[in-house]
Amino acid sequence: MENAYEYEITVIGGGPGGYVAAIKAAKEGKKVCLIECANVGGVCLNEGCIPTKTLIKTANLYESILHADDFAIEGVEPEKISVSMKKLQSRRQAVVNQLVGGVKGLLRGNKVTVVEGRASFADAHTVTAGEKKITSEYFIIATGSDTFLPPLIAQEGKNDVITSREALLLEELPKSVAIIGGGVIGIEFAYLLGTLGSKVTVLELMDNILPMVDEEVSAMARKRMEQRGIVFHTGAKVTKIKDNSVLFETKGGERSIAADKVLMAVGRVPSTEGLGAKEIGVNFEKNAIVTDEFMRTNVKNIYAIGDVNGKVMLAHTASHEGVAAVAHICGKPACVHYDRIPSCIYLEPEIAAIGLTEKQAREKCPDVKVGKFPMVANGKSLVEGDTDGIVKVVLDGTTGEILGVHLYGKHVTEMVAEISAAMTLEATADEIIDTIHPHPTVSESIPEAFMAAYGKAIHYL
Amino acid sequence: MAEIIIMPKLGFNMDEGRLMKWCFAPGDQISKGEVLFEIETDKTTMPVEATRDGVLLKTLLEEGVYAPVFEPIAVIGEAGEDADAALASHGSGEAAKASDTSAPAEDRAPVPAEAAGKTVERLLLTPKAKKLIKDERIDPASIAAVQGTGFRGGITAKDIKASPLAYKIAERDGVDLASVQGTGAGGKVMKEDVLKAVAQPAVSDGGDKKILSTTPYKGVRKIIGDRLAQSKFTAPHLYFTDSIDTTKFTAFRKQLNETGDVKVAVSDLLLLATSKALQQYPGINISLVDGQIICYKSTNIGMAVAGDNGLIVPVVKNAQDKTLLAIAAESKGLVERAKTGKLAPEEYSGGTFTISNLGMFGVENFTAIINPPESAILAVSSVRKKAVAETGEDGEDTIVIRPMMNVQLTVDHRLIDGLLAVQFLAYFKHLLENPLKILM
Repeated sequence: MENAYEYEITVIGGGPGGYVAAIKAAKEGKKVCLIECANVGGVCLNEGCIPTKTLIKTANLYESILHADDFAIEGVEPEKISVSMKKLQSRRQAVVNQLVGGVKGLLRGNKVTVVEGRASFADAHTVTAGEKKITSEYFIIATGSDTFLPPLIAQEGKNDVITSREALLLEELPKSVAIIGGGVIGIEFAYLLGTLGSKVTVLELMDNILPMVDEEVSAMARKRMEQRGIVFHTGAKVTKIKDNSVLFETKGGERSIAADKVLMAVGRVPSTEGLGAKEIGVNFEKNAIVTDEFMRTNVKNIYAIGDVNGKVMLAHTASHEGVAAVAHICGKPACVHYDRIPSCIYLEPEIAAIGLTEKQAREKCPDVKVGKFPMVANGKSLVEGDTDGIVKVVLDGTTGEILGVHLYGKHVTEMVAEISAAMTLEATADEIIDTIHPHPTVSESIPEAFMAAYGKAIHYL
Repeated sequence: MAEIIIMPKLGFNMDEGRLMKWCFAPGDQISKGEVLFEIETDKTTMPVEATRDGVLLKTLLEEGVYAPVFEPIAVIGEAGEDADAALASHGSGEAAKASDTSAPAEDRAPVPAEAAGKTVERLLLTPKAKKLIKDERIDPASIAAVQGTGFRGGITAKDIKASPLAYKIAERDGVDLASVQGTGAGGKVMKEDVLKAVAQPAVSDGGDKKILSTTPYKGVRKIIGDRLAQSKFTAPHLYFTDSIDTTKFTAFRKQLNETGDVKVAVSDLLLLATSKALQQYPGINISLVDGQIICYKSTNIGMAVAGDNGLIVPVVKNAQDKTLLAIAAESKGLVERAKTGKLAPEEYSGGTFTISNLGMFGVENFTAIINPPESAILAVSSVRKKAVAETGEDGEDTIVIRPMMNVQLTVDHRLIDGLLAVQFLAYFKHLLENPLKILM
């Protein structure tokens, strides 16, 4: 072990990928440095996952309160109930501050040296961050991603185009908003703003919203949102934004939508500005750093994890990639199973998906069995007062292998972890069906859906 | 009160036993002390007595079937007692579950033809394996045929370490899980491992070769096989051959048998000669144990015997203290019991040297593999008339016909060098060619 380097592992970026990698490395006994240019916690904590879900929580509660009468609560006058965006922002900030403080504490407790600054590679073993020079045996790049304003969508005239970053800081609810992009971010904002009272229109290029979710399930979610007044245009190619009108082409011809604000949610792009990685020979593909299955770049001592490698832009993926990179550095290679990454979409009711959609499964597997169980047949859902929803499972008919599970219903974001564990253990339908689920819960719908795949559901005909 | 009878652990290394024979049928009255059943261990068949009076309520294991040690194999109680209830409260209610699995077994897809041959017989069920079955909720039907009487059959711990999906794929695609290298946690076989095995199948039997029979490689055969392999691959074997003129030896034996009541076999003389030679050259009578080379005073000499279940080596202990006639009497009984698989464990263990005599079957010369933890073994071949050169008293060389017998000494070269081996062998030859000296 050479002592030529100041640190054994230096992590560039303190988001969910970076700080997890740093703590994991410290727990493995390594001398670790973490370089962060803004706040630890990255986008996830500061302007992504946590803030959005905090705002969505208020929207959920607001919606529930408006229906308080259904649950025998009297004295609630819907027209008198309102959401204070200012207070909501305070809450958001408070939650974020607490979590950022928590991460800081964890890094300190694990004796990770945190350096403030923007890192830039001088060579494969040296970066500069502000005034400091840091040498390290290994680097893990975890610089994340940024919001993206596609140049192909021209902007003319006076526009108020925002991205998710600005949307999370809104202190006033826009009267109307056009959301470009029907992915997770676009749909969550559609739900959030629509529930709080904005007039929302969603424009999505593909035929379906939420591509990682089975089409049947996403169609149900879309219908529910439409019932609440959100307008969807799919198969819509946005060409221009002019004076806050969004021009788009559909099969039916050219149309435009006017809105107070335009929210651009077409995707995120890896952040590597000023990193100097390209300059020292790290390979990129488009904007993402190219990595192998162990998160290594083409430069042997440099790894890249999380959004910056463009593989799967989710916080929990970044964390697992961080752990895998550290494991590899420590000589115990671990791999990340990209076919078992759950996705959660925080509407009400929630959506959670893992694995393949039915369509994707049929492309790969000759004998696909599909099982469905509607939440209307689930007792707890009825108790909760919301029976919209379904559990849809996609199996390999020859072995009962779990290819994909798509859940739409109350609390499903907490339930999908069961499937994730089952897939890690390579459990098949038999084992899920044999697993005792407590009653009354929404989770009971899961084994029923598996049984339904064989025509043997008990609580549904 | 009904009592559960379990497969007894009769030896330190015993993981499983094979139920050879029930001496009573369910419903029979038995008395304490009567032999209730016979089991085959890795070496021999042992009778097991009933430990109480009662009625044999139920047997869980068919004759010829293996069960791991400590597994329930029978229930004894009073007439009319509920055996299943007793079994259910024994341990974790395996029996109750097992009787349920016999029904769903029929619903399962039939086990592929190749795998069908590898059913219950092939599998060992250790307690660890049992725990794994429970923990991982493995469907027994996916691994082995389910016994109607309620016992699940045998599954090695190694076989069980596979994910549920790996099992199903293996069953579907006809892969023998025991041959798949696992890359999951703790060596667990995962889906990827099985798929790789499917893509590169091991050498297949069947295909161009018509099969006469398929026998599971397990039990005694496997234990012998494993030990031999281990011996060969651990100890560097060094071989020394010599030819022994047996003229005087044969005559000597004939004379002994004319005069005595106890018949002395060739092997008895060989054994005593070996004992003498070992006393002369104790450096051959050694073992490497835990980093120590132990040189023994006892010459415990084993005679390799072809038993029903394979090779077994009964041992005459402390031959150095025994007369030829005592050895002859003792070895007669040992060989008889060895051939019928009725040796007691202490009768086939504790040897310090082994003689393997295949002379009676007709062989010119052969090499034996050292029987660990011993360090040497002597292979004795047939007596054959050979033309040998002899120097007469006048110094002239002539060719004569003599009954020559090849012997080959194998030694562990880690512990025994060539010179000692040659000296030992030369002395042994000298004893056999001057047989009176064997008794001196």
